[in-house]
Amino acid sequence: MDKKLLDRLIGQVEKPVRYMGNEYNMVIKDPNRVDIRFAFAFPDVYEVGMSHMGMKILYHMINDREDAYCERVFAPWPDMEQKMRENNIPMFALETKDPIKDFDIIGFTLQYELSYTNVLNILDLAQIPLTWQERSNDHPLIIAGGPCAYNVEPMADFFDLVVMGEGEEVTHELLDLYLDCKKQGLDRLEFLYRAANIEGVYVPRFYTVEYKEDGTISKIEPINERVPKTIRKRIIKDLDKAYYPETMVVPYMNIVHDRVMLEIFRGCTRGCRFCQAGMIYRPVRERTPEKLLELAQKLIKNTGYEEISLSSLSTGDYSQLEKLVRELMVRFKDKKVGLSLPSLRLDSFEKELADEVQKVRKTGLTFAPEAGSQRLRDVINKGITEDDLMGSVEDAFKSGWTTVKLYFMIGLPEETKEDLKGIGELARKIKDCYFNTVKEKGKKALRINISTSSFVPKAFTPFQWVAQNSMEELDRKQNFLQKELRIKNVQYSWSDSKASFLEAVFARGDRRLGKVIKKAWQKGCTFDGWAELFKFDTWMEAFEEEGIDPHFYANRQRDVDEVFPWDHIDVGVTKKYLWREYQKALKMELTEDCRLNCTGCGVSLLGEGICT
Amino acid sequence: MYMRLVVKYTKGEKVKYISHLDFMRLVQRALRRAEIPVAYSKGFNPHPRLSFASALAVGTTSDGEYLDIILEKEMDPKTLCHRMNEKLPEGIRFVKAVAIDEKAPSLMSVVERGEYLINISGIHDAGADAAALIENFLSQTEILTIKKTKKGERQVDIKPMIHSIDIVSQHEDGITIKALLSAGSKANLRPEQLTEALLDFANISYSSELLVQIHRLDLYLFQDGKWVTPVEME
Repeated sequence: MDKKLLDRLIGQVEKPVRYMGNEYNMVIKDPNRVDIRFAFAFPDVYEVGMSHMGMKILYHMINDREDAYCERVFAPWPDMEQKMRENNIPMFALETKDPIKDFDIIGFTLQYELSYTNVLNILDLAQIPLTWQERSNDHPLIIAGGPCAYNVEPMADFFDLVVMGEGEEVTHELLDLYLDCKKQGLDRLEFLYRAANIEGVYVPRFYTVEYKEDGTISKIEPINERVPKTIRKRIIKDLDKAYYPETMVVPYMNIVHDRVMLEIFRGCTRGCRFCQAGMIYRPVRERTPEKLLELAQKLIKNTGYEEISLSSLSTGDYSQLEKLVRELMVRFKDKKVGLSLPSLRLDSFEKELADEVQKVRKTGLTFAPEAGSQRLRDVINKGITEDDLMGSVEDAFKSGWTTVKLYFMIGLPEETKEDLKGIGELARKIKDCYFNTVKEKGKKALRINISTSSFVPKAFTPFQWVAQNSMEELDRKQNFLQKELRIKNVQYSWSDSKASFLEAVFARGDRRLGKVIKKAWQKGCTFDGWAELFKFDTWMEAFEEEGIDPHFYANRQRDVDEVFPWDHIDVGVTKKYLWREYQKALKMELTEDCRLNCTGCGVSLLGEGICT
Repeated sequence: MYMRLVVKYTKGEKVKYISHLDFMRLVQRALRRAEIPVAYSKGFNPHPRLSFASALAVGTTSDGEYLDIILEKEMDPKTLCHRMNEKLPEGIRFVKAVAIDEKAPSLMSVVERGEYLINISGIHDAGADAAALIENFLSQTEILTIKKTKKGERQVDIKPMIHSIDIVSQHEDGITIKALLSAGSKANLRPEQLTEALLDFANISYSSELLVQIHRLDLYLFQDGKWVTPVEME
């Protein structure tokens, strides 16, 4: 590859640092002295991918092995893609700028459905055939992981294998097996058979799917006895002992999360019924404050970052949050390192700390009531009351906050017009609260930002049986809210219902969608998650041309006994539990936080003592 | 006891696409990694007391960049360079640091000239007499270029800001020249502007093959009757 030409092309595109590499802490190895060259591919642009925690962990973890070299790959923005295609530059890895078609393994992380066309585009730019059927033993092994891997069926044609669950242990097992098979001269198929027997590894080609006349699935079965009937996700039992990097690549450009991220725990016990992360990442496992403090000190020393953030699904639930935050403040105050706290629940001690310490980021306060009425919040099991919310808001106003962000979902099951009106009422109450609390100065500064996203039913949630609202219904609701929220100091923003629709199609899609993804990509779809590049009409043409009805996937209510495309995947949480939760939702019955009482979701069966 | 230092550093090939803003953040993070006792501004949102002599265009490399830093306690300038070089990305090197008077004017206001190597390649008819061309270029009574500002376009005579142009080497499809130009807050001529004017004068049209690489050699200020670099300042 002409690396001089590449260097020159980089200078001709927007944000050249996206393609430059050479950041501080980038791992440099001699590629000739490793046995495995691994490309970790994030199918989105650099500044998004570089913010991803999982990549940071696996990048350094693989590179800690002497026998492997892990490099990074991000989706080139269309301006760079054009330059690459015009000049016949194959997709390269940031570290060495070597073409990834010569690598052993390319691992994609699937964080959201609307990045699927970018996976295809990266493979094509790499000059690698898209489907496993077209690839030979000489092509790199194409694998995937991440939350969308739990229902990877729409992408089943494109991957050789998929990892379910947390990658820290299974990655090593896979790499060891890969090396072993390479040494023994075993072919790709034999490797895949052996890999399929590692817990957490799914090889889509070893399973057949049969359909009924109505288009639903009749059964999913392994093609022979050599592979397991169900694939169980992997979890790490003890987070303190799990690998966590003590260093991070420090990017030159401003990335989305440009700070030290400390993962304080995994999983969530709240049991919100719409939330996929809350189900698939169970059980809850915490890192100890001691371990976190040790990591924080090493990470700040090694990166020079000026800010630390705590990362988890629900940071306020960390059992030793107060201790951790206080200790972090004490240790880093003099070093001018700031701590950014999620402000979802601002209780008294946080407020006290916020007053005491100068540099807690005071950009805005975010709450996620998700629904506009108590009734609907009970349906979704969002354990937050209006009193909780108003109390927190009042505290925040007293401490000087003037901007409040509120997130809601529209199109939730059982939603009525009254629930939507409730969003407007809440906005008015918050406004009143502000003017009652802050009597004197700066009244004009108040900003209440309300944003709604459209509910997308996801696999492995209690709402996996539910039909998504049609795009027309969602648009009507957004229009209604625009009128309801025409209030001074209140700003309303909403998400594109078309993108939510497409997301819903793939979130519960099956293998038949692979050809639609390929068609849409061929017709020029990439970066579907970016409003300015999203080509909805092209997508609809692709569905039409492939003879597939997207509404079948997004807008159809499922029967209790329907076989789902992901039924052979075992995430711990059982289908029975999810159905029970769905029925409770319809009756507006709450399920308590499972830290208080086991709610019998099934995840405890993954291993002894994993639920605290 | 505060200490003010002027540091000379380089920006190489591997980091040439870093923008000025990103570069400032990079230095701040390297300072924290190297545990340099930087002084911070007072106020609600303290930031390190650090300033740069002159912004370098994206894509330009340099052997003579300067920054001005205030430490909250004394430190051997050599130690500072050494510690920073261990914590900077490849391609950036702190070459020399000297202590200066805390009350001295800012680097940006005292620097007056910049010296550049400009390498132009990809010219199809490069056989022309380059020496004569440059001589004719410089013998014009004025060299008018168009400067785009927020208010619109404005004609600027860049001749007074060109102090010398020398041919370093001539090659098959281009030329390398050394140019001494005005730089700093009083008058500033970007080497890109000069190159554009020169190519216009030579009737060379822009094509995809044409490649201009610019490298800053050093910055100078005038002190006690002679031109010195900021680290040679008295």
